[in-house]
Amino acid sequence: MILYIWFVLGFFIAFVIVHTAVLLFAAVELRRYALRSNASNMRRTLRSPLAPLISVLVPAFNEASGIADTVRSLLALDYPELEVVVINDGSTDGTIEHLAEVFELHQVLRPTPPFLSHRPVRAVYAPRSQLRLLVIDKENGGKADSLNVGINFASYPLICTIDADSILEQDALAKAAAPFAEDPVRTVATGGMVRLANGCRVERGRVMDAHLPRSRFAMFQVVEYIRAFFGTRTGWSAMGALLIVSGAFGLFRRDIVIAAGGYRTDTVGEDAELVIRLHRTCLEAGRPYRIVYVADPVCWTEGPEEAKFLRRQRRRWHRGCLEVLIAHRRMLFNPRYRAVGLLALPSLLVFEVLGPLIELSGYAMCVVALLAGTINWSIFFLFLALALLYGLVLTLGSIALEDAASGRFPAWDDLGRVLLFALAENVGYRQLMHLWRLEGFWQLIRKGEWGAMERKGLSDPVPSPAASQVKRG
Amino acid sequence: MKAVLEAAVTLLTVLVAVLMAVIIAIRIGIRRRYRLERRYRPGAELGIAEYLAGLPRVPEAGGRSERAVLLAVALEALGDLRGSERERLAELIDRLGYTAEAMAGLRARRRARRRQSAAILAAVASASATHALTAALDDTDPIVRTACARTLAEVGGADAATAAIIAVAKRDIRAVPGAVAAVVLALGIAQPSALAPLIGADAPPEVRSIAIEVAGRLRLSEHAKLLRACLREQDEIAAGAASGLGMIGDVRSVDALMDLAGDDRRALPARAAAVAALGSIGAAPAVPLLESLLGADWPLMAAAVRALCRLGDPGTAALRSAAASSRPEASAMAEAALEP
Amino acid sequence: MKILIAEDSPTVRRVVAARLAADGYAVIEAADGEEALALAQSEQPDLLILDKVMPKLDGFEVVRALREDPRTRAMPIVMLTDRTGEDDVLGGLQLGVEEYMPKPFSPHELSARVRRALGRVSP
Repeated sequence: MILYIWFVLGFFIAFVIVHTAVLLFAAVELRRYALRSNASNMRRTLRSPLAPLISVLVPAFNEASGIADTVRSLLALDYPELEVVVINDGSTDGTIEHLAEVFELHQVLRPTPPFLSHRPVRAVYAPRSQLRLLVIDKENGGKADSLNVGINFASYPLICTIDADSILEQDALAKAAAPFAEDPVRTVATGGMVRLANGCRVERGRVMDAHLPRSRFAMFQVVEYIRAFFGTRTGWSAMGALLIVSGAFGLFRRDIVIAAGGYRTDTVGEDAELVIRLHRTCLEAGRPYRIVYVADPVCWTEGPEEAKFLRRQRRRWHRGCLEVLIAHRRMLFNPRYRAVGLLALPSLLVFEVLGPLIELSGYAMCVVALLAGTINWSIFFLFLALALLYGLVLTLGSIALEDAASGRFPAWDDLGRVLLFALAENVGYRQLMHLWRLEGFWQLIRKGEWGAMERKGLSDPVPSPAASQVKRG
Repeated sequence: MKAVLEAAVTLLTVLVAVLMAVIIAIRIGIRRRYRLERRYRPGAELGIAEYLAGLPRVPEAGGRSERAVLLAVALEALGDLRGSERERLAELIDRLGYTAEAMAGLRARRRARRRQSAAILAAVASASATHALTAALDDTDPIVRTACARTLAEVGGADAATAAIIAVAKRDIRAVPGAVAAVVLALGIAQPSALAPLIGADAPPEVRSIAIEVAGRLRLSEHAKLLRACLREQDEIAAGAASGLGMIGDVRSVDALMDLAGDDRRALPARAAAVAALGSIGAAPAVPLLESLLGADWPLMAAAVRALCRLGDPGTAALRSAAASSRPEASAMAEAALEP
Repeated sequence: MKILIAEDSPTVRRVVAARLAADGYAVIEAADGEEALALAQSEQPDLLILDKVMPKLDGFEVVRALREDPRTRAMPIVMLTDRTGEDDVLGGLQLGVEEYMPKPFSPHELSARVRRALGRVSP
């Protein structure tokens, strides 16, 4: 019993050490970005004929209420040359009809390119005006399937994948495309920051005023997002081991994605799975590449505020996490895959997958040991204190980086609120999230889907509400 | 165990406390900067706006922060303006000593300061800085080198600098490819003939690709012969050259392009680019060749269909017969292309 | 004559405002899209100079909203934009933007365009 408690202790300490290292990488990278980035330079590059062309792919399922606003705000983005491709995933609420009315769409003949396979396309529509918009109607098949359609039809070399209710800031695309302009040959994918729009004033599909959410669950998620984006993702990206580019906002080289086979439709973690597969394909082919996380560009999204939906989301994320690890288990601890295989994937396995199990069982073991008399009260409380504190280093470090890099909370009480929730997170919320993730684990085992990655199956036909894949640590 | 736990908890508590302090310190720093900006900015904006509107009063700035804010405001406006107001603003920046400061900054020890100075000189684009910029082409930092090279190319320096600019382009292509692309573009706009050595065979292939693309986008027909020679080279270069020739519209390259398009030993992207070029040029004699490609791989077929659309009546006739044919893919594509 | 200038860069906004004031117009300023829309509806200026890229609401969305409102449907608009792509111009013209000024722009030229746009509207 004592041995097990030592083991959990070791886990906590390892967590702090590994993530402090990740934070340090993140800090260096953010500083480098601040020194290199030059607003006027970027503007000039984007005005030049050398600016990369982007096709924005918007998979939409039953989005009739917001889709027109989303498309309009995308067309109005501050980017020189882009096209918007909406893929209607067999909606039943009149999404296509609404779009056809708003943008005066008429049907066009457009044979389906053969690069990636997917559910059949029913029709293709384009507006009568010169707007660079393409709307594709297809049979329901899920988000990954829809994205594959979009990739097939996209005309430009870069594709931007977003969720139908993502709200991109005006300069988000420009900032996310900057690494491609800097290094067109090597850069394969980039991702930007996702922020929670809960509590913000959103009108006409744009975020007017940014505020912190009132809801407690949402506030905890704000803390999680800061930690994920300013802490872990920036850090891993700096090591060349970024495992995920959020499905809510990612930019990819179309040809490379096609060469890698497009999105897999039999996993809920399709965004992470693609990125890891991109790493794998490039490393196996010996092709110099980089997958970069840029902390500057911002995409807004709604996070679940009710426990029911949050639970569903976390279970799904965890299942996705596991599926991805199973699918790419060959890369684990394999030096051929460098930082991804040796550092990032093992870290994912240990801290993300096993972490909840270890921590929760640690509490349980402590209680048992206490009751059995093996440990005394002081050790028990010290252990609890450690459990409370160990996540704080990463969280506070990420908040510090966020503040330094963007200074987005101008008010003291906003900062106070974030810090309060950062502390409170460790006394219940995090443990609850761990429990829900384990439920996801259990769901996966129960469904017997261990072999799911081996055979091609149909994905859940109801795509989840906008959910960026955010990894905690 | 207790000892270890105590040590760990103490350490973490200390770390947490330190981080909290750091966060607060950062926040205080940001607020201070914010307050400084808010104090000086309105004055700077008003001063510059009035000066540009014709008022004789020259905006002044006292301490270092005030000067920094004034410069930042001026540079922002510089990016958005053109014409006589821009001239006036650039001259104001000169007169206030910022250009001289930036020129001196190019020789600073700290790399960040040199980069910043290069950025300022790039925005101002003043011909008086030519000397300092040319000297900075030998800087140890590729970002500084390429920024100065670009500015020199844009400002239109003496031919003496051209060779040095070309050298920087060749040297830094692997380190900062995007910046070098900007340099090559600037060179192509200011001194088109200078692109020749960058297209030629002894430049690194990455630079050649960029130079070829620039020559095409800028429609520099003086380089058509060079591009035509590149059609025989390795596939990425050939593809770029084909695109370029299409954008230039070089009729004399039609034969070479047809050879490339029809050669099934060459890679698809190069052939597709050649096909697209034939369409852009409007080469009617290519119609039979394009027709024969209507059974090939999708990218090639798609390019052929698009090209046929641009080749007038013979092209349309070919598309019509393809649409009527029994080959499903070609027929579907041709039909789609013929749609009004 | 009253002109509303909506531009998020304060310096550029002031430069244009100063130039227009020198030309003899009364100038109102807006710093973002939302303010621009509100001021356009409340102040009913004779002409609106609108930057395409602004915080809160972008230029096109402001134009759309103004065209939907019967009070402001006929208001002449000059739009400043980074993008000069064809579809962009057409997108703007479909909505009823009189003049399109690419950035970087010359306030001098802008002043001439303003005069032209106002001249067209004169009774």
